[in-house]
Amino acid sequence: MALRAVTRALGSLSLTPRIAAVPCPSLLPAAQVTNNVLLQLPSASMLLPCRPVLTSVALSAKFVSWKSRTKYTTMPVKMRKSGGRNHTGRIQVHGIGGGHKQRYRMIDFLRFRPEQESKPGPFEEKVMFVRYDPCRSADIALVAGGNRKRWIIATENMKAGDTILNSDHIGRMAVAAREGDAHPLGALPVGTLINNVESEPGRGAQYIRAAGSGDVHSHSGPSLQR
Amino acid sequence: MALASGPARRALARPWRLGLQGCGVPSRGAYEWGVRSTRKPEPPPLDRVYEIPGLEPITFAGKMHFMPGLARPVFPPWDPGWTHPKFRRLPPLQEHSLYKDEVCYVFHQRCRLLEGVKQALWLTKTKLIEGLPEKVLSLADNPRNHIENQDERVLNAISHARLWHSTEDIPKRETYCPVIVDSLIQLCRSQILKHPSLARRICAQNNMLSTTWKRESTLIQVHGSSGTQLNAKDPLPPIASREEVEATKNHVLETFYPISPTISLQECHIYDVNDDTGFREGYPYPYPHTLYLLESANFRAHRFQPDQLRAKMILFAFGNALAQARLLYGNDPKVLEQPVVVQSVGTDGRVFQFLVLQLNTTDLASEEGIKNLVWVDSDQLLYQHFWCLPVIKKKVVVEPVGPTGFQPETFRKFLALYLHGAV
Repeated sequence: MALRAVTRALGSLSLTPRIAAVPCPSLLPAAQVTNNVLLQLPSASMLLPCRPVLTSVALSAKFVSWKSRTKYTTMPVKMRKSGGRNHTGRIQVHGIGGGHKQRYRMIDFLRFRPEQESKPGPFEEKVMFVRYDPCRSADIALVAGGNRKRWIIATENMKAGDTILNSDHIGRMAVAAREGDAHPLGALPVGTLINNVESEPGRGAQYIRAAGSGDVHSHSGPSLQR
Repeated sequence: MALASGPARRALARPWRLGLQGCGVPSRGAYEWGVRSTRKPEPPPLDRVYEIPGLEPITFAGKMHFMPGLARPVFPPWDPGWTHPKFRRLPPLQEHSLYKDEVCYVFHQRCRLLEGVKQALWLTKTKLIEGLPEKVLSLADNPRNHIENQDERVLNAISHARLWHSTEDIPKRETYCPVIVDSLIQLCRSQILKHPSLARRICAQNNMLSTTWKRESTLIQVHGSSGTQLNAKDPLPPIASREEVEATKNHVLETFYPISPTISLQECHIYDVNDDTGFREGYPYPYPHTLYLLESANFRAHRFQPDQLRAKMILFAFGNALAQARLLYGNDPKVLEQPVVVQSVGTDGRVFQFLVLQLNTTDLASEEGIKNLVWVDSDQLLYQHFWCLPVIKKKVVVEPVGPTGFQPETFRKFLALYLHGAV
């Protein structure tokens, strides 16, 4: 029945009239008759009555993000490039696309993340090696502490074998800051070059992460943490 | 207010941020891995009626359709009575018969120790000595122990494994690595005519080893199969004298703060503490002699680094020795009168690592005391490179087909490790 409706509809849309339609006048010569026939557009009375049928449908975007992994791992993860397209599939940002295939290494931007909740104090970690990361301009370093390994953004002079300190303690005296350590901004002396800054403690670094970036610390905002 | 700058003005406008409550709690936590659309959706919260204890909520369950104003009924999950084998789920870990609260760190075939040999030495309470012991080296240099046409036969074995036994132009490492080790063992076995006691040995493969020991209040287990293993009817004689063994008391094991010694080991709550050598009682060849570990993955990233391979060799040799010692002398931790010796050879088809481990004590929980000894000879090339196709430049053969940079010393050490204990 649906097929019949479709064929009726398609038949009613055709330009050439059928035998059951209006008969063409036979007074004119044959050549002119054919011309007339072709020029004759189907009027409303010529169309066979049928129900409206939808012949086109909007294509829905089947966008699923590649970020499906919930557990942290140091192994590189396969990723899909966006090419500037958003979830609808259309270009939202021009000029993005192509380039070498990349695998994503999960970077831990929250430096002060103790391994177990039962040991909340400052802790140290050792840098195993520094390597190139295709997903960002900065290099990344694999650091290991306790029973876990993670990737962090490497600072300029970081090399294998360094020990770095992650602390959330603000003392009365400013800390003698070493390169690679993580301290709350309140504990650092004014004038230290800082990077990987977070706007609130526990949020994770969101600012000054690119290669070559670094900001001079001046005590301005309330309780910002590195 | 006009004097306050941006953050200060925001802080004054939102007074709870300044106060003690909520101090240190961020408004948005650190990034959580996994996009929300790919995470499992949370179940919808139950009606408030269910929070009142002792009250029986009136639901529309009996009416068989939704009714505004009545509570949503909570049905027990439907149990169909059977499960399709394709969709069977494992029971929760706590219900397993071997579940224990104490965590055990298991070392298996694919564990790559982060600190390599240093970490393996700490885990097994061992002192490292570079180079093989003199007894084994003298066996290697003694011309009476050499096979006739030894170099020629070894070169033939290399060419056979790397080129002739397969129909491909360039055989892959997964094919040629086990073939070359088998050919070299076969060459060594040809010495049975000269030394009949070599017949009291057998090669075994795919045996599952499992040993557990306590190391400074952490439980560590070695579990897994280690490739080809040579077993013998007679145990290997101890190499180091009693004085050298007593001298290890003063040796201090290297620690690697801030890294924990159990890093890269798999944490496990389900494990079996009983030892298992891989062979049943009454096996005619009870003493482990040599372990042959192969690194035959095709891609360099999947193969172990030499340091990680040596660490794996130390741990598996130690596991075998400990299981054997416990079988002979009981489970009590003590210093052994007759140390147990196990050898190990690790290779990726071209580079060989040799190892001899002497187990002096099963008392591993304490930091002081007598330590075990291990002699390691690392990175011995058998040949520098093998050309499967000749290198032709300007119609002249520059490099012919065959191995280049052959070092006969490596096979002599291989033979010496094989003959050790029987000569």
